[in-house]
Amino acid sequence: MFSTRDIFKARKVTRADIFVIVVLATIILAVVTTAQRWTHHYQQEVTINLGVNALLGYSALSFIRGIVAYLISFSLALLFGWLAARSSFWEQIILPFLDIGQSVPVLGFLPGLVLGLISIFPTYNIGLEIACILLIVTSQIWNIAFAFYASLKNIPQEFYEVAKISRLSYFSRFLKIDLPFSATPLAWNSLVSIAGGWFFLTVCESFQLNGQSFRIPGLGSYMSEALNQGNQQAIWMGIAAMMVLIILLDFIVWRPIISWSQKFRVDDQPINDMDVPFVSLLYRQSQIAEYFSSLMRDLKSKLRRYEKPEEEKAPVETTTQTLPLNTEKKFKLNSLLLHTRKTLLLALGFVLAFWTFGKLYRLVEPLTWSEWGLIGYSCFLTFCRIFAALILSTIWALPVGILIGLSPKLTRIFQPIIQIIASFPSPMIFPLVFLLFYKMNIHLGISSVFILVVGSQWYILFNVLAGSSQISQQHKDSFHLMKLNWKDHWKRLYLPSVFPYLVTGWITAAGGAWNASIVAEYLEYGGKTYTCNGIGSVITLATGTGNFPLLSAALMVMVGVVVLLNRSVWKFLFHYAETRFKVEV
Amino acid sequence: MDKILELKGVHHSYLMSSGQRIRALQNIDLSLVPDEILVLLGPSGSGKSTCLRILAGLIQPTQGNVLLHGRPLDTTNPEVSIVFQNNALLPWLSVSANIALGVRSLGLSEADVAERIKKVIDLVGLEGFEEAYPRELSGGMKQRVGLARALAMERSVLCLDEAFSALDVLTAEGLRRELLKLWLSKKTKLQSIILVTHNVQEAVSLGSRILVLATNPGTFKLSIKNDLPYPRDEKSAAFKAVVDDIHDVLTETIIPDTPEWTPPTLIHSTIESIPAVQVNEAISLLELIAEQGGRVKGFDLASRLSCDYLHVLLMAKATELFDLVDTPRNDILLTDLGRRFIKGDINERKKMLNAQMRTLRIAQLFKDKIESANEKKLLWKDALPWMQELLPNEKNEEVLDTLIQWGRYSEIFGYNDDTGEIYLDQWI
Repeated sequence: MFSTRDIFKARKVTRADIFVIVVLATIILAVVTTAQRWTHHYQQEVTINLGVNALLGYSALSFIRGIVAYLISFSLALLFGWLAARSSFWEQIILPFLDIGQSVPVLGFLPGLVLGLISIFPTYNIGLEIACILLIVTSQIWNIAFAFYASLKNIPQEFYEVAKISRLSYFSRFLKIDLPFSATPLAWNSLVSIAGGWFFLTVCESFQLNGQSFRIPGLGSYMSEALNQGNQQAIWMGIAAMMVLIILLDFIVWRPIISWSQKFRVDDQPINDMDVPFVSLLYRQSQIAEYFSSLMRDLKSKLRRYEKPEEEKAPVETTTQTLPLNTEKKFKLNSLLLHTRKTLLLALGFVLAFWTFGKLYRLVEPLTWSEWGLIGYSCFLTFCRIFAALILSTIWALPVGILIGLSPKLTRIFQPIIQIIASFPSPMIFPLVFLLFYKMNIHLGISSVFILVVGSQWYILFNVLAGSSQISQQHKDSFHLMKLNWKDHWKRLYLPSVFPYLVTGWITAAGGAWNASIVAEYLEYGGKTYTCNGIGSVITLATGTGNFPLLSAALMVMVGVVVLLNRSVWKFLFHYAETRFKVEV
Repeated sequence: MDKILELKGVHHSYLMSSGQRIRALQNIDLSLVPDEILVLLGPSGSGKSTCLRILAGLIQPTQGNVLLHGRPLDTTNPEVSIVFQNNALLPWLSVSANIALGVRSLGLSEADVAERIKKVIDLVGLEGFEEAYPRELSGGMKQRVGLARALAMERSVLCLDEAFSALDVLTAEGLRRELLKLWLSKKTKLQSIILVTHNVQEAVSLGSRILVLATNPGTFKLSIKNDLPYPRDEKSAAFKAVVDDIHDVLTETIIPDTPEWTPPTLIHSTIESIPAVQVNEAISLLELIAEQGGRVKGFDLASRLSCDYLHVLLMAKATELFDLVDTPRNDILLTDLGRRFIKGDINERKKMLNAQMRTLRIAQLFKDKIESANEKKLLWKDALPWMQELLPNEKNEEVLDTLIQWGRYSEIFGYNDDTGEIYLDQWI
């Protein structure tokens, strides 16, 4: 009897969301205004050698970059996750950040960020390096932080009571309880984060703006150089190198780490992760969308189980007479502190909001109505492309995923392959797809849809596969016994069963597609530039021509549209699927 | 005798997620003296675990004082250790590492820590399992580790929070006996034990003083001094007499035999909620009573169903609301309606429940509320605050969901999960 309530709850926009939007606007402003200051001519041109030996070096460099970014993400994620789980004050701020942060297409910030950081470090490549690592961090941090937070929230109350009774310090609680409890989700999410990192790495390493190329040595820049020269052999070698790197990491790092982390699982907890590892993870990851309602449910069950107060620290009712004096004082002080903190924060928020929006307004003031129209139109076009890409991916991935998932044998064969394909950064294949269509004389406006399909189809396939592999044998048997034909099987069993997973696949795929649109709508090949109308190309072009008003407006519109879609359409679909079609195990 | 721990005028309330404030404890006075086993006995939701956590300093009461040796307690209680129902062992630590968890924070030397662990492992009979991991152990052995961990802290008060409830009957029995032996032997620094339980047998076999708690809100109903010599023989007449007394008190608490006299015209004006039990389990209960000849002792029924006596009482109370059973003293007997109900097929049963439900005050009020709603469809989320106003001391979601469930079964109310609407079905 909780379905409708949850949907209502989920669609509510909270004050914290508004706060996050303000902060996002500030970031856009900061990035754009720093970029504006960049007037120098960039001279740190790096020459890329297409030889095999050099490729080894580039792979190593990219690898190190990925690891550094991951280490930063991991530490920050632990900090944020811990803060959010342990303090309701930080929880209110951090959770909306995690939710919105993971859905914002950060790649849109790349050009601005690069220019901004280069203006700070004009003579070294360090600006590019920092920009690259920063972007990777912003792509990796959310799911680790959320996994850690969720896992901390799920630790049974008694363990902390034991810790308190035993007088363990915060640090030893962290080491002995918090970290071990979260070991498995942390390991899996690290795997996902690193995989996501490759996507950004390959894009960030090499960047062409207004005829100038910005690059730092690495696999990504190797690929772009190979493309520029039209060197087919080098292109394939680059792809192979990436593949080898991913497979090696999978076997040498992830498998041992994950099986080691199994040591820390809690007894009765079923080890679903081992059955459908990567896939079930993707699924859970996007459940972040549901955190508000699940949090409430969590609290509710906790209340029922332990009769524990929800607000222990809040000053409760009027108790002046019987309270010992010191406790009363403490309450007052606490509430005063809490109050001041809140007021200060609110004031700060207002000042920030006014300042930011004032500045942004002045920045975008010179834009004409037709330019705003162009932004809106481009956004709509990109939206249509993503929509089309999702439909195309679904058409083949839905039936194939169901069929593979229905057979345990096929599932076992495809699992490890999936884990590796999912880690492969799709931008490396984009140019190949483009070339294919280019040779058929098809405009980028159309072929970019297929480029998006390349990136997004896997998410749909994996999730559907996970869903259909979890259809219970009892359901299958009962359908068999009732002698239902294949049509009924699909219509009444398979499709409804995988629907929640399909929605998850769509959400993940759409999120990736907005990011990919930045790369898919603006391509360079053989010294020529190919573009089509879309918000991705608007952003890239605006940066290239130094049209900062257009850049900030386009960024704002895109971020706004994506957040809005997430908060409305996707969230609604997700809840609908979860409440209507989720088979309870 | 000087008191180790004291609660003075303790009230505690907490917020439900629906925003409703539930009073968990009301005006609790309690003291713990040396050399006693104090039992807090009560149905779930009577706040006994909350009470324990307040004593342990894990939560601060909304109102009232906690005194340790006469001084107010404002941190975690340094004299208390707890054994939890689900043992709360860290699965990635071996038995000895789990026990060492708290001992290490005492600032002892490594040798002393090892010494102490060895001692408690010996005391609770865990030799040979020092390096085992919790997942390799049976439920009873795990609970021994929990006990060893608590004893290793060498504190004067041991709290057992339903520590035997998750174990099977034999294991629980054995562990209880060993604990008692350990306590009587005075080999440890342990002075007193506080046991939280809903099991009457357990309370009587261990407790030297038994405090019976009542629900809504949690208050002390009765304090029983239990002087039977240890170890206690559960088959002795004296033991049975104490058990029976407590059963009487509990039954009287949940299903009062002689409610205050109400004039016949107002007989249904008091609003009583349907206790939170499933329709189907209540019907199974009726069938079981019929099998036993139509009259059963509630306690026998509980042991036959191997479920909690208090839950049986709740089921009896629910069926009594519908006039299907009568509950004189500790007995539950079928009424004529109850007999006809058992004989009827499902449709006849539904009809009977339907007719009975119409006489319930809470159902009548709910009907009026639904009829006053837009298009006679009441939204679940709108019904919630109304329910809260009607029965401010009860968990409104639970009450509402139970009412809807019984209403659905008797086809008197309908509920659409998609829209969240409650409507009248066969109340015409």
